[in-house]
Amino acid sequence: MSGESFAVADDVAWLPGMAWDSDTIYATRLPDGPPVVLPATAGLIFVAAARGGTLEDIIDRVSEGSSVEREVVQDDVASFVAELVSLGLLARR
Amino acid sequence: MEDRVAGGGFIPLGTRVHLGHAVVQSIAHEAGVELLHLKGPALLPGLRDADRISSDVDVLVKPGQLPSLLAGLTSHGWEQRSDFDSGSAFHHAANWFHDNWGYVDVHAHWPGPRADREQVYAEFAAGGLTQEIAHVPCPVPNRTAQILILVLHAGRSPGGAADLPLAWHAISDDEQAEVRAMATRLHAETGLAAGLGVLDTIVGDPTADLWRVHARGGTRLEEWRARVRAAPNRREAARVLASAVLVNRDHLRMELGHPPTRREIVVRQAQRVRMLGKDIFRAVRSRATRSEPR
Repeated sequence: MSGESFAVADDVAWLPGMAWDSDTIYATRLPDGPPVVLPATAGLIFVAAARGGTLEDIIDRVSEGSSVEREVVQDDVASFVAELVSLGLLARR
Repeated sequence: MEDRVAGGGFIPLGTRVHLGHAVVQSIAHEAGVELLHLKGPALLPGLRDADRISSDVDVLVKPGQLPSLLAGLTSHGWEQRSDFDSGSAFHHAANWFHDNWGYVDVHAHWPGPRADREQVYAEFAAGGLTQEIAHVPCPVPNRTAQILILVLHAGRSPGGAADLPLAWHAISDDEQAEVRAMATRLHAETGLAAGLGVLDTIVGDPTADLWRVHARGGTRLEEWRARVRAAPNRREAARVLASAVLVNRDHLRMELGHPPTRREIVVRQAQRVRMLGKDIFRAVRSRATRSEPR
């Protein structure tokens, strides 16, 4: 996936939770769903990817946002980005 | 505050409403239908109390395009829970439900304006505003129309008055004048007066009693009287009278949480006749008491 860019797919609606669950992201493909709940780190990775950019960019953002070394998170981030793509929530550009 | 969604898991109601707006917009777009998203997350900044959570999605469909939207909702797994006749005394909305997205009120018109529906929709949609809901651009009424819609809603819903501190009392005199002017153009003076709590200033409008019952409350008998009085012709008045006695199956279904059985309808029908009888008895007794010489 190196070098490819990612963005939220065109047919996706998403938003963070309210005050009491603001670190959770709720997303869905339109119009049939299903709704997907992305708590904590899963939400952080989705938001990092929603800003657009390469996998390297996303890993940097997650590392910064979670204050965890880049080398520690990179495999998990790469794997989860691939899963978000397979769910149709992210698209390769 | 949370509701289980299809496939397990929970999603907070307020969040679900945001996603519901986006879903309905997507279905409308697919069906080539124009609509406006109303209230809740569709409100423009400054008109909405951020802590206020909507319980359902409200949309107003462009006149003539309702069948296409309803077909679209059906094809995407939505179920109709009430129709335009059974939904409310104003016959303005049908209620639809989806396991994932909850309830949407599909409005054929917004109670209040008596101008023709095309004119009302055009006035509301003027300006071509959109509001991002769950990152999806959704068409919404212009600001003046949004305020009028909230005031009209307050006129027929006790809870709706909670919108007024921001939507009416906090806006400028000039903006209030613009809302009044729009209400005049759309012949919505009675609804506006109901929303602002000055219904007594309205004289000679046969729908005023209906607004009065909704704004201030009243017995079932008073509501049905008001509905008959507000009916535009005798045929409609007769239909209203018939529905006063018959069980509203859509409401009963929502109350029970399942389609009512024949026995449940019969039991409810008997209760309804008894309650109506009591209301009539009370009204007659109250009139007799008032007319007794002192």
